[in-house]
Parts: sequence; structure tokens; C-alpha cells
Amino acid sequence: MEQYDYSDIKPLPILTDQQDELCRIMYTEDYKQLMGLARALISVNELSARALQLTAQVIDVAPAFYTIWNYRFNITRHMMTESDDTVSYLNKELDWLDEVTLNNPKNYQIWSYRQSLLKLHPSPSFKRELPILKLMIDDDSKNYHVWSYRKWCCLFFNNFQHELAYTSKLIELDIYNNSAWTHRMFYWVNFKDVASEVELADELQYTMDKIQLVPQNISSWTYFRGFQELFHNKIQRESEVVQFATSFIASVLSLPIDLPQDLPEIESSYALEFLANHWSADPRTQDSAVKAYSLLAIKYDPIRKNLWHHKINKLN
Amino acid sequence: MSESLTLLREKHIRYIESLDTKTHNFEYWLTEHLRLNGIYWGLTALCVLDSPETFAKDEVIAFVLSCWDDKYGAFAPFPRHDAHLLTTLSAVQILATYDALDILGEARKARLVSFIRGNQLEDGSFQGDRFGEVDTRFVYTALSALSILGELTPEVVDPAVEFVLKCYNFDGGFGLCPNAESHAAQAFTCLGALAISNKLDVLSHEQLEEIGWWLCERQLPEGGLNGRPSKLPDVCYSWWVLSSLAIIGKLDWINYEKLTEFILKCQDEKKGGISDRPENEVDVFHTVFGVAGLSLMGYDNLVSIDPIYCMPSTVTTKFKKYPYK
Repeated sequence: MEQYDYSDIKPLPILTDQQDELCRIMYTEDYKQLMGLARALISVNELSARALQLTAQVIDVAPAFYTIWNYRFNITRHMMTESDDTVSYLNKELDWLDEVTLNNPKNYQIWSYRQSLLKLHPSPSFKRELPILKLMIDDDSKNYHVWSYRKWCCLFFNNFQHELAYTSKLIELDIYNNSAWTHRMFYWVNFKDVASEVELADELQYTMDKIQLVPQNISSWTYFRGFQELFHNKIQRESEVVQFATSFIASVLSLPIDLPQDLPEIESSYALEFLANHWSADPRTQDSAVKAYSLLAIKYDPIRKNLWHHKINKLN
Repeated sequence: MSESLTLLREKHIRYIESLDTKTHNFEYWLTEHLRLNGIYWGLTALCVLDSPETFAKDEVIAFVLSCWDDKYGAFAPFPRHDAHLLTTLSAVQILATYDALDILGEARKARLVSFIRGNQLEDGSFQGDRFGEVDTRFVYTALSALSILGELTPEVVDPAVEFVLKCYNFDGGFGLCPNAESHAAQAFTCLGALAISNKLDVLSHEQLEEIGWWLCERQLPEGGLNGRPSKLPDVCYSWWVLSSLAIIGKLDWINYEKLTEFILKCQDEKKGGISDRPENEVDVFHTVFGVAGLSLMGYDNLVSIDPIYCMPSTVTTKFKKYPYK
């Protein structure tokens, strides 16, 4: 780390004049010095290399202090115009940001700062973003901000070519990863008008294979249903889909309902729910829907019994 | 539910009171950027526990005013920090809870309103500050603050409502921004924003059913609620999920008994306070959302809380209802 001289800067006091109980705080000397310098530089809006260095130190101790991110952005925007090579200047800033990102996986500010940098960048590259995205997801495969940022990148670069393969890999690692499943839906929503029938058939099969592997998985069932709703004009495989769902419910629909304790375990309550929802739509199958909802209420998902009773009342 | 589980009211009050006096410890000053929010959480929890006088009203109001950022005309989380929408809402909520909004004066109030409006973007969304972090939290924050101040206008509300609808997902949930994964906290910010705007009717009957399904699907067999499918339960979702269900009139889709048991198991029996999950360290954030969730379920005559504003109902009944007559 380069050494800069700040001796000409008079740190601003970080304590207020007000000495009530709510804000009297004992600071360490280092912290006081650092924050005092930062406030002094901010107050004169110094846009310099040493100011940039100082913001890095502040971010190191207080990464969620958003004022300092605003300030750093102003410095960067100014310094890049002074630099001979804007591209490498901004790439260096992104390198620094990668490191901060790895150390602060839950921080919000990083991602909007990153977006702002890419918008400034004369030749931004999705490829440059992929390694940090991968590292962050390897560390926490459901990191909300990272997934949101990845979607932002797909739209910003108009590049979706990696997405299906990438989510397949993550679903391979953790079939319950809802972020990966919903990212997959994001892909299809953006390719709604151009998806071919072959692609859709493959995707439906992929989903059924994953459900077969782990039948009691809310994410794959929700995706399964959502995918069919999205492409209801293009996918006409109703009887096959119903047969598939029925294979997970151990013929409970044909059993008497009055002795819940005698009912067998089933592989998937979500399959039962899927069928109930499907049957609700057609007056000829509504009796089956009522029975399926009743089974959910008394045996297979009793914690939501008020919801299932509501569904039954709607049908009656 | 086991007989021994009860709400440790007095301990929670003492716990929140003790936070004020812990100003000498290290973690406390690292959370400067959340201070005003923290006071709002503490005060609201105390209100639900029917003990608002535990905080010294005059001191709190003085602290709120000391967070005024005169450069931008709004509230910062701490003196000399930058103004931000999140803390501006906290400041307005605290003052409204104390029935002390008048202390702002006309000039300051006008600047505040223009700060909030000034952060709205063309697509109807709001940025948290001039740096441009955008998400549905800020839409809620902006609309809630303007509503408390009685300053909503169609110019602000209509595009904001459109933005919120773009965050609705195929699974019945809402994301942080368009396309983002559904998350329970975002269901609250989106539904809350619509409710404040008196625009819940932009959602179809089918959508409301789907939303209700997605929300009650958050309850795990053990009773607690998670924020996303296949995640661990966390007490704060007792608020985000329950308030959302209350807003759309489907609160009873949750099993009260099991959720109550989960929240009560997250209490620290020695020092008070509520944590995210049983056996974890307590904090004021989970304490307020735990007791607020219990209040929504009508537990033990807790003071009634408004699911839209997360403030005592006695305070929010005084707010002007939009659209204004």
C-alpha cells in the first residue's frame, strides 16, 4: 500500500457538540484519526490519489458507511478523466473492488458501486465479472445481491449464453437452491418469444428429472408450474404431466379420508398440491381437487390447513 | 405449546433500555450508520410492550434533530453522516410516534419532502441517496415517509406503483428490483407501498391468492418462517410475512400457535431480547420484529401495531389517508 502524507489536513472532530446519553461514544484514537481525516477531505471535496487511499482504509473498517462509497465514486470519476488510460484505471478500481467484495459478502453498497463503475467504463466486459461472481456464489450459493447483480449483468451486456449451464451446475450441487431455479426462470422469461419447441421439451424433461430425483422440493415444483404457465401456448402435455405428478402420491386419492393415521406416507406433498391446483380449473375434476386439498389439510401439510380449507370453500 | 413459554415483557424492556447505556462498547460505534434506525426499532418495541416511557422522549427527539443533514435537507443515521431515505423514514416515524412532527417546522418539512421526491427516478423507483442504490425498500420508505407527513401526490404515487408491479414474480412473491428473486422482506415493502397508496386493487384476485400462498408457504413444519424457499427460519420474517398477510387480509393462513412458540423460543431468558433463531445472540432488530409479530397475532394483549407502517395503530389512525379529500 502506498504511503500518502495527510499532515496538512486538520481532522474534523467526529463527536457532535451534543453530549446527551444517546450519542456519547468512546472512540479508539486510530478510528478518530481516520474518520476525522475522511470528514475533513469530504468537506473540501478533495478528489485525489491520497483521498482514494483513505476511502479504502475507511471502507476496510466500516464497509456499510455509504457516505464513503459516494465519496469514492466521485474521486474515481474525476481521477479517470485525469488518467492517460481510463480503461486500465477503471480495471484497477474493479480489481480493488473484487478484493473488498470477497471480504464483505453481505455488503449492499459494493454492488451498486460496481454497477456505477461498469456504466462509466468505456469497454465493460461480462467476462471480467464472471470470476468474482463465481467466487461469491461458491462462498454462498444463495447470496441475494450476487444473484441480483448477475441478472443485472445479463441485461446490461445483453448476454445470457452462460446462464442455463451455470444454473444446471448449481442445481447439480444443491437441488434445493431456489436462487438457481428462479435464475433459470429469469432466463426463460427473457427468451419467451424465441424459445423453440425442442428447447421447451428438453427443459420440461430436465425439470421432471430433477423432481424425480428429489420429489419433496418446493423450488423445482414451483419452477415446474411456472414454466408451464409461461409457455402454456406452446406446451400441450397435460395428461403426461398429471400422470407424472400422480406417481408421487401413492394412490391416496382412492383411500378413505376419515382415518388420517392410516393414510400412507407420500413422496411429495407438492405433487398433491400441484394436482389439486390443476384439477381446480376444470369443473369435471373439482371433486378430486377437494379431496386432494382435504388430504393436505388433515395429513400431508397440516400447518397450512387454513389455506387448504380456503381453497376447498372456493370450490364448493 | 409448552406451558413454560411466555413473553418475558419486563426483561425485553430492560434489554432495550440497556442498549442506550452501552455507548462505550466497540460494536456500538461501528453501527453508527444504523443508529437512528436502531432507536426507531427500540422505541417501536417499547410501544408494543406498552412501555414507551422507558426512553427519555426529549433526549430522543433532540438526538433525531441532531441527525438533520442541512446540506441535503433530510436525516442521517448519526450526526455528520449523509442523509439517506432509510434514516429519514426512521426519523419521521420516531417523531410521529411521539406526536412531535410539528417540531420540524414548515421550512424543514418542505426540504424533507423535496429530498424524498428528489430521489425518485424516471421509472418510478427510488434511490436511497444520490449515489443511486435502487430497490423496493426505498419505494416503501419514500411513500411511507411522505404518507406520514401527509404529502403524497399522484405524480409520486402512480409511477411508484408501476415500479412495484414490475417486481412481482411468477411464483407469487416480490423481488428487490425487477427480475430479482422473491424475498419475504420485499413482499412487505411492495404490499406496504401499495397499501399506503391505497392501490392494492391493482393486484388481481388471482395474484392476491398467489401472494398469500407464497407467503404462508414460508412457514416451516417447526413453526418459524423463512424469507425464501429452503432457507432457515428467522424471527424477523415473523414481521415481513405476517404484516404482508395482514395487509392482504389473509393473516390466518399462518399457524399462530406454532409461530408463537418459535418466537418465544428465541428469547434470551437471562438478559431479555429476541434473536433470529433459538440459542443465537439477541439484538434490537429481531426484538422489535418478534414482538410486533406477536402483536399481529393478538398475543397476550400486546399493544396493537399497524401492519402497513410498523408503528402503533393509535399513532397511524391519525395519518391522512391517500388519496386526500
